[in-house]
This record gives sequence, C-alpha cells and structure tokens, in this order.
Amino acid sequence: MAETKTDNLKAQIFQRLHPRIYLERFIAENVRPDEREFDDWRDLSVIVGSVSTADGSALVRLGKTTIVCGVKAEIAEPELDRPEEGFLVPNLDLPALCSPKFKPGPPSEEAQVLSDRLNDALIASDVLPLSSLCIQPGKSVWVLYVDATCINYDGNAFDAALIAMVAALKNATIPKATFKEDTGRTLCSRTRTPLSLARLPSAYSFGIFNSTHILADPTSFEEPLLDTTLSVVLDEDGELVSASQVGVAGEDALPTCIARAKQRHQTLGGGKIYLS
Amino acid sequence: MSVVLPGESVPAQHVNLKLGPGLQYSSGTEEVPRVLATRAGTLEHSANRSKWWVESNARRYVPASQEFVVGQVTGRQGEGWRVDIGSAHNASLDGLAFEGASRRNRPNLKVGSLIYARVSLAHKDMEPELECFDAQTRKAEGFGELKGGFVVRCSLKMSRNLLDPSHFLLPLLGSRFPLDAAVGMNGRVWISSKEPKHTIAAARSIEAADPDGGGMDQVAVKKFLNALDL
Amino acid sequence: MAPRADGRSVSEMRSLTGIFERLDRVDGSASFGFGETKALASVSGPIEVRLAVEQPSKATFEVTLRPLSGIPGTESKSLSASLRSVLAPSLILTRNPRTLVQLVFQSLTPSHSTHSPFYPSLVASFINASTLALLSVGSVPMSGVVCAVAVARIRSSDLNTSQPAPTLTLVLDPTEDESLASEGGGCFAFIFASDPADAGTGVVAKLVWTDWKAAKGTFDEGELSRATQLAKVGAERVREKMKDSVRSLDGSSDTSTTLKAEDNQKEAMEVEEDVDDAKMEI
Repeated sequence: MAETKTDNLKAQIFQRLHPRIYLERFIAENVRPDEREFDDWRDLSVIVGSVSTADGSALVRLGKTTIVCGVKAEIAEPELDRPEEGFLVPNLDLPALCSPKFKPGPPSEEAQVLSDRLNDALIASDVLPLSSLCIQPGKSVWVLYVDATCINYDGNAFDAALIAMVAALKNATIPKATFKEDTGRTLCSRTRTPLSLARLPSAYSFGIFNSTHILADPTSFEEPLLDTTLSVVLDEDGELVSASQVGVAGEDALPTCIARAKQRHQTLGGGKIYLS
Repeated sequence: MSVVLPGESVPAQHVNLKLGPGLQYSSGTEEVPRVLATRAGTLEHSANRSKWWVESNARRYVPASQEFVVGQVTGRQGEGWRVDIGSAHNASLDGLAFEGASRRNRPNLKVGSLIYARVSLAHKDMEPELECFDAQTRKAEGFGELKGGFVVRCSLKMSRNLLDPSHFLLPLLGSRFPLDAAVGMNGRVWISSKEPKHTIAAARSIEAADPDGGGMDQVAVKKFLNALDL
Repeated sequence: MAPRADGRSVSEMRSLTGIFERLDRVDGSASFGFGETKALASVSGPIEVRLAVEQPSKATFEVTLRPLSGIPGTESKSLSASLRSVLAPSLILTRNPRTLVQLVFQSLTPSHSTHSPFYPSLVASFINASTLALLSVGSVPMSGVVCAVAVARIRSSDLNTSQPAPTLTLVLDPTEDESLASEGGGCFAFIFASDPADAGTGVVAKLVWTDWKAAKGTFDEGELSRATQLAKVGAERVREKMKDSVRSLDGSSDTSTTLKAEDNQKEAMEVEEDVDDAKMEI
C-alpha cells in the first residue's frame, strides 16, 4: 500500500518535471494518461434550464471540464447601418478558480481567443439569424448576452463552451415584445417564445502530438504539448459548418479529423444532445 | 550564385564540408543529412566548394566567437563591466581581460566608455564574454578603451564590407583626411579625426555606402565627398 | 471560366506586391499586398526579453496587431494569437534562448466593414508581410517560409454567368467586396520547406493554417480539398513573388559587382546624377 503511494508520487513528479516525455511514454503504449485511446472522447453531459434567473441556461460537462452558460435578453437600439438586426454577444470567462493556469484579473489572452472563436462559430455561421431579434426596425431590437463561465478547466473548453452556448440559446425564451410608436417604448408581454435557431452546431476538437498521433478531445495536460490543433464544427445533421487547423499537419490530417468528428456525432445521436 | 529561401536544401557536398552562417544540417533521419538554408540570401561557396554559407544583410547582432565588436559600458559588475554590444544580452568584460592587467593595475572604465574588444565566448545559453587582448599574443593589438571619437551605426553587411581590405571606403576617406577607425562586426564603427567636419563626412559616407541605406558605390561617394568643403 | 467583377478568372490572383520597407527603428520590415489589400509588418529580434515571458530553452515569439486606430480588441488579439501559431513553425526559436522575437503588423488599407474588419485576403496579406519581414531580419534562423492566400465560396449568380442554376464556385484571392458577398470561405497558409521524408531536393508545401467555414449551408470534404488545392497553387505563386523580392534586395545591395563595373569602364564617371543631395547635405 505504501509502495503504490510513493510510486504514484514519483509518477506525479515525473509528470510535472518532464510532461512531454511522460506523455510520450503513454503514447508509445497506445494509451493516454487518462486511460483513453487516441480517438476516445470524454463523457458529455448537458443539463439545461438550471439557472432560474437567466432567460436560458445550460451546464455542460465534458469529462472534468465544466461550463455554465446563461442567456440574458435585453432591449437596445440597433446600429444605424443594420437597423433590422439584433445583437448576439457571446463571451467565455476563464476565471482563476477553474484552473491554476489562469490568474485573477482582466480576461487572459486564452479567454479572449476562445471568445472570438465562439463568436465566429455562432455569428459567422448564422446560428441565430440576427434579423429574428428585431422588434421594430431602426428603433428596438433584442440583445442576447450569452455568457459562459468555466467552473472547472480540463482542456477542450471550445467544444464544451460551444455546446453550452447553443444549448442555452435553445433553452432560452424571450418575451413577446411590441414597440409603441407614440411613446417610443418597448412593451413586453408575459408570453414567452423560444428563439428560432437556424442550426445547432457542435464542435469536435483534436490535437496532433509529435506530428503523428491525433488525439481527440485533449485535456489541459495534453493541450500545451500539442503541435497542431484542429476543430471541426458540424450542424445537427452531421454536415460540415467549419473546419480549422492551426499548426503544421499532413494533408490527410484534416480529412481524418472530419471523419472522426462525424463518427462521434453519430455516437452522440446527431443533434440529440440539444433535445434534452 | 543563387538566391535561397529558408527551408530549401542546398547542393553542398564535400568530404571536409564546413557550413557557415545561414546553413544547417537537416534533423531528419537520412543516412546523409541534407544541408538546409535557415535564412534568405545569396548562396556562396569557397573556391574548392568545401565552405558554404548564405550571404545576407542584418541589423541585429548575434554574438559569434572571435569577432571584433565596438561596445559601450553600461555598468559595473563585480570585478568587471557589463557592455552593450547590440545583441539581446549585455556582454561581460572581466577587469583582468586587458593586456598586462592585474588586481592592482586595472583600466578605469566608466559607464558610457567605449571599448573595442573581441568576443571570447559566445554560447546561446550563456551571456557573451569579451576580452581586450589578442588570443595568441595576449597583447592589446588595438583593443581596449576608445577615447574620444564618434560611433556610427550601420548594417552588419556594411561592417563586414569595411573590414574587407579591398573595400573602397576606408582607403578613400583616408586619402582625404587623417582618420582613426575601429570597425566592429556588430554594426558599430568608431571613427576619430581631428576636425568635426571630417568626422561628420566619414559618418555620412558610411551611412551612404551602407547597402541597407543608400548603397552608394565608389563613384557616388567620391562625388559626394567632392561636394563637401573638407 | 466565369469572369469576376474585376474581370479575373476564378483561379486568378490580383497583382502581388512585396517590398522590403527598411523602417528605421526595427530590425526588418516589409509590406505585402494582393492588389489593393496591403499590410505592413515589422520584426525585431533577437532582443532583450522581459523576465516574465523569458523561456529557458527557446526565444519568446510575440505577435501584435496594431489596429489603424484605437486599442486592440478581442478580435485582433485572437488574430495575433492565430498568426503566432501560424508563423512559429517557420522559426527556429531554440537557437536564441532567453531572447525575444517581436513581430508587429498593421493593415495599410482601411476596411469598409466595421463588423468583420479582418476579411480573409487581408489576413493572408498579414501573414505574407510577416514572412517577408522575418526574411529581411536575417538574424532569426528559419526552417521554412509561410505563404498564405484566401479562397471564398461564391454563388455563381453573383458572377455574370449564363448558367441558370446558381452553383457554388470557389474563387482564389477574393476582394473585400467578394468576401462580404460570399457564403463563407477562409484563409489557407502553407509552410514551404524541404521535406525530411522525401529524398528530393525540392520544397514541399504543408498546410499550417486554415479556418474554412460555410456562412450559409454546409460543405463537404470534397469542397475543402478543392479549396486547399486552389490555395496551394496560389501560395506557390506568393512564394515565387517572395523569392523575387529577396532577389531584388540582394541585387541592389551587391556592391562588389558595381565596383567591378566601375573599374572596367571609366565612363561610369559620368553616370547619371541620382544622388539624393538633399539627404546627404551636412
């Protein structure tokens, strides 16, 4: 008993001092430090509607990575050059409490990069048509603040956050609103309607270690050791919405990841993760 | 003579192959490692094709062993000084690294003093070290504190050109007025002459002939000097 | 082939410009442009590094986007982080540990759209300008050259074709207007380096970055691979242009040949007066 304890401690020290060699030893045995195979994913769970003060919310667990997302609707004036479009403002916060990697203070670069990628995934691929957020053209539109906070960070926050945001948006309802021309005010009724989402994307991320091994759903230990990261975003029917690669990889890497992402999408039951 | 970009392989083959700046062996697992360019420029080789290098210009000095540099003292450090030679790290110059220096008899350098020195140690993991004597004779041979004068900054290619005895500029300037010069490989040239206008003329000529600036040739520099009231 | 608004064919790029800028206070600088889409980049390094970001085994590589006005927002921070990952594989940072290589880039053409100021062709010119600037530095060893080009998905009805059914066409090097009207697209960056697996002496292009996306509808693997191939051809041409730029830089700085010419021909004394006298006055 005491021996296994010291062995464990030794392994932990080795992991901290030589993370790359530590991971290489596992990879050589065709297994990852958390007992997964290369293309195994961590368990995913989605719980919606748990935050009662928000207009829509979701809690997503991807392995140990936990993200809560709340949608808050407010009324605002549209921009002059886009009078019929509302606003969708996604933001991901990586507070110091979720991982020792992050320091307290203003948003870290990582949080800003992730927020921008999420913004790209939600807005550029037209998940929620911004015209559906219009109450009165040029006068009054909805602003949806989609705020996600990471509670526990164990890698692959992009996949978890995108699922959390889409699930929260799907869960969200906004009051029926009418704009009174004479008073210049917007009135909300008690009846609430769900948002009309055009598509339900979900993201699948991979990393390439030592330019040969493709690891699905990397953990926070694996992430800094990866040379290349790839992300595939699929819609509810498993069709491709976006594919990105950052870092050097052979020509077959991205197609391989797309195939694996589609397979995973099938295993999860297509867009069913959002049906709960 | 051909232009190479980084990452291109170079047809360098010789039993006694020596690679100069801008070239390295590929890290692949082939039996015969290939030679790859690591910077953009013109591929050059010696007459017997045993020495290869990539000729290009740069402004930032990366110290290399046994190169001559002009530096400025930025502070004291124990028994010696810290010297700015234009590289990422300050170089250190030991108090005893002078001809005939002993614990009793050390040169008196102050912050701001200029020195002409030889890089005695250049390793990527250590800060560069300087010495102010010749490695063989241990005599000063012109190294040491540079008193008075003026430092001109130029590109590294220009300082290499100035060190080339066949280059026109220093002989041309010397034919017009008396001039002392110390050329550092770190893109710094110290010049000293009796009259300020001579110093200015020399500084302007070096700047004008710099391939990184005007790149004037001999004819143009002559014409330029003729236009001055020297 | 269906001509585009500016008369180009789908696989035709705008004219490329690559200029070494010789900015005074940095170690290397360059501008690169696809037609009117121009960007400027400057590099300094290896220089002294702040203690907080010093790395014991390699140089720290910092990439900053300077917006034309104001302070960098989330979008530009994210873009500079991407560009850092795109360019880092081309640098041999282990040669100069505990130093800093600093890259700053800036757009030279204001964007008409405030909503997505970084359209793919602009991002591609950022990358190419950065590579050229790195090439001009000379003091930072590199293992390859990164070249980028953008591709857009455009409905054929946007092009003046006679085809009744609008089909999606992939076009190389889209202008900003084409990008705004497109149904997605993306930027592709390739690193050109000698391939360790291949015994040949040539260089091969490896994909180092893409952000391909469909703004409307979806795409399939075939489309992505067609876009990659199209971009690869474009990136080859960008690389050729870069090599030309390096060649011209080298030609202009070759003092030994001009010297020889002077020795041989005495009439060179009456060479045209192109000396910038105003600049040279004491």
